[in-house]
Amino acid sequence: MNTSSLHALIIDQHMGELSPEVAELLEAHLAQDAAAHAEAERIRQTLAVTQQAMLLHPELVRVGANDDMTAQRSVTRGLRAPWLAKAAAITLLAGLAGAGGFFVGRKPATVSVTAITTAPPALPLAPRKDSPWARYRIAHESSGGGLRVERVDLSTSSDR
Amino acid sequence: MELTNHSPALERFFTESSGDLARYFSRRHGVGELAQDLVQETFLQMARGLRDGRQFKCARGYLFGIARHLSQAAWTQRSREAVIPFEPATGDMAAPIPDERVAAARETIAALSSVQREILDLRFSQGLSYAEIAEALGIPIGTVRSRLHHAVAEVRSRLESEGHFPSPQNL
Repeated sequence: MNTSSLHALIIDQHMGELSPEVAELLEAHLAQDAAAHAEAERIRQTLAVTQQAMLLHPELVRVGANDDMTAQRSVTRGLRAPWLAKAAAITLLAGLAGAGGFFVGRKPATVSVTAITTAPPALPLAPRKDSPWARYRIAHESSGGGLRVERVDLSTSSDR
Repeated sequence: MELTNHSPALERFFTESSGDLARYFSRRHGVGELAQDLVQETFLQMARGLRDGRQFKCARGYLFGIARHLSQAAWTQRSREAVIPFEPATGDMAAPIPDERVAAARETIAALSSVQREILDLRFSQGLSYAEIAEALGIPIGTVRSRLHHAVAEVRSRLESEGHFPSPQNL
């Protein structure tokens, strides 16, 4: 008989769960085998100590305490790998920062596109002569798609 | 024993079980009116179950199954109110004699799952059989047996590691 079978049989016998025939066979085996007998004695001592602990410590079966423990386990289960939580937080922050940066970076381009698409036809090519900007004019640059500031030769521009 | 609602057998069953149930509740909720109320409520629920034609394998296991649910509900109620201090009854035991083995066993049992602790309690404090425990907890008999064996093995391992008795290899 192997050790685990012996353990199981002795515990079941102690609990009164063995049929009389099996219990008798077990006793016969223990009577013949000194090592098995000693092992059985240790298991019986363990059972006696376990029973004493249960009787002396009813707090072990407080259902509320059990529920608390279960709840605590379920709450802490997610935090069992703190590195995972940190990595998730860093990834989330990096993602948010990246997305924010992307949209902030896109804003001037959008403005520029708006300016380009709307500004060219309305650009005043002939500023007033008394204006500090009278010597300059802003023109639409057709090749690059941007704006160009160029100096105006007032002597040749007789129309101004 | 044929249990039907309002039968003499049921009355006898209730009379015989009232002490066990009172101990079950007093270990969890302390000695007092609450424990007595829970005993009565357990009997009422069982009677209602019988009236409604509820089938069960063993009456005692079914009774303790109801008791378990009521106890859990009472604990939930308690935790909401959070006013009643817990002073459990220690049964008929005399003042505990300090014993390192019992302390070690207590620590080991405290680390087991709640179901394992309940199995140990129903077995060692209430004297329920494997089948009755299975009925009370709503789990297979084989699970009751294996979890109880595992719990005992854990305690035994702890006792051995602390040198309370020699391991088989050292014999």
